[in-house]
Amino acid sequence: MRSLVICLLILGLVALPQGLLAAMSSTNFQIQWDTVSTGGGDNASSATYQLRDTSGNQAVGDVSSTSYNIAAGYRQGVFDQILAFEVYAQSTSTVRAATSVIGTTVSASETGISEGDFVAVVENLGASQVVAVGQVASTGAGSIVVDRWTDNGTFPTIDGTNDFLYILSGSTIDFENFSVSAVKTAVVAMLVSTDMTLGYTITVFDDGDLRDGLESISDIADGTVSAGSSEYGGRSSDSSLVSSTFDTQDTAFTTSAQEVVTVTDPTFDDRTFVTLKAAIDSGQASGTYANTLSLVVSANY
Amino acid sequence: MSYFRKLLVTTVWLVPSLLLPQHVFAFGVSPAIIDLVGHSDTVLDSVFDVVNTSSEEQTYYFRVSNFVPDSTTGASSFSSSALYLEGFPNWITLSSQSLRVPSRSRASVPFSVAIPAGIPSESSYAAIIVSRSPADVASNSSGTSIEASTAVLLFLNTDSEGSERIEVVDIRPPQESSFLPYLSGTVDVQVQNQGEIYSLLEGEILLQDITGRTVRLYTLNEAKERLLPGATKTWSVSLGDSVPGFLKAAEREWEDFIIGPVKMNVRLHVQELEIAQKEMRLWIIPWHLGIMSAVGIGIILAAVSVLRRVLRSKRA
Repeated sequence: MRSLVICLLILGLVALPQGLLAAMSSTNFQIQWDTVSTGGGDNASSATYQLRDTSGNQAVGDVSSTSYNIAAGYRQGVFDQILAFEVYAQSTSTVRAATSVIGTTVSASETGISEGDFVAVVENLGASQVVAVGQVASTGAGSIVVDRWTDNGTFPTIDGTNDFLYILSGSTIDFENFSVSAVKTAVVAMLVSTDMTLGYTITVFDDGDLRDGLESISDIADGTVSAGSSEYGGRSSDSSLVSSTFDTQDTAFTTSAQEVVTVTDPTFDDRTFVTLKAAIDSGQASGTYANTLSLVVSANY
Repeated sequence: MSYFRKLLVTTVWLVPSLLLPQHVFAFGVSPAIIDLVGHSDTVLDSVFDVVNTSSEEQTYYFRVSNFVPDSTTGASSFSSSALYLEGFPNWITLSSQSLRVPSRSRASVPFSVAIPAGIPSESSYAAIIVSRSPADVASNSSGTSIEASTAVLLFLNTDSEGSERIEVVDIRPPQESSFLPYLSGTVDVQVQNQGEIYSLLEGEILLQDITGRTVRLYTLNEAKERLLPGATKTWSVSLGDSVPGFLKAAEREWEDFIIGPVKMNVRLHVQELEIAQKEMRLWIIPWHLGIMSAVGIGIILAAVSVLRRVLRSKRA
């Protein structure tokens, strides 16, 4: 009897911690709750398998009308190991005043803007402008609603004073008339989707200075494009670059590739942008200045 | 032309261009990285796909380029100068220089790599650049023309069989001391490629206790980083988080139920071929659980002692 009591006591103590371990968990995970109607993911893996899955994949298939196409279903139209790239350059002539931004709604003229367009809102247009870009989800009378905003860490405060909205739809940045009293700017938005496990890098290089014959606007050398100085450069919205200074200061585009965006994870519809800046001094000859800027996306390895 | 007619013509031209979303560049490539292995004086065939994600048929143009790999960041460095291609890029022959791809569909682009005779065991790098405009067309517009390209990176190892020289340089335990109450913290495994060819390594860390029981198995390089010649990478594996509080620690030690030396075996392999391994030893001393057990046994002994006294007194 004595032994039985002792054994029961010991067993009780030993069993106590097991009661605390009743949840679905291990040292590496804890599942608080789950459901079979939603779930899945693109990056489940172990030493012996990789799994991309989803649950609750309903109403799968292609649907279309005269104004839209839907490819519904898990990874419809997405292929393994894909690296997809989209670029939208500011169409300077589409400028219109922006008076406020509340959430994802901009108060600005909706003329010429369609659902699916990319737009940039710019606070204090010029050398120190603050930018956010988004894709138009809907428009109303005097308002534009975007799906979400992407900025460089600082969201613009739009109050109608020197604040503007542009459509990003061109392939050429037209700085229009250069001025000794202002820095001309333009936004180039970039979208990348990739399931490469180490992410992607966008590099940029040009084919030479912004030039017209023998005349040229020099690459920026002092870190800031300033009104009244003849210089040209850019700044990235990516604030965590390692091998270039596009994240911390206005930087020159050169004929050698430089990193402007780097992301180290698989990503879908990842949005970033580069702001181009140009200024002239009073001795700059008038002319039609041009160059080519190449953006190359590649997978990280 | 009347004012009204001018206005009408202008409107007809302008309105569609303003209303239609102009996706300047919208396409993808698949795969984005191609690993090739071959011998001197052989021809390799490969293929990649171009994916037109836009709503219109598009023409894509291809050109071959050098790129300089960065072994630290895993990023590629391209140049605007494609005039002086040497080595690997010159061995590549594309089946076509351009291709029309219907809206929302994909098309294959075959290419071949003719490796010349006498190429030693080494790694070479090249890229096939896919863009919407031919490389030799210069823009004549005013302002800055934006050209977007997507690169298919090609990694080539020539005569690579048995050439891997991978070294596990260091295994850093989770703390300064190799004595832990339970498995927690991060193990850093430093690996160096001392050979001439890059490696796409896989690996494991196997933890076994004194009885030979496997207590943990972790995968190394899950992200499939390529280890370039001369490069050193550190891959980290988390053994688990530290838990706050004495009772939680004891609970964790009970879960793990490990005591004594734990052998940590790092094994690296390329496909099925093991090419490097290294061992180190950790000591697990579950002292929280030890103290709790001692206290528990003390309580049991005290309870038994009291019980025996009570029983004796009742009998008396």
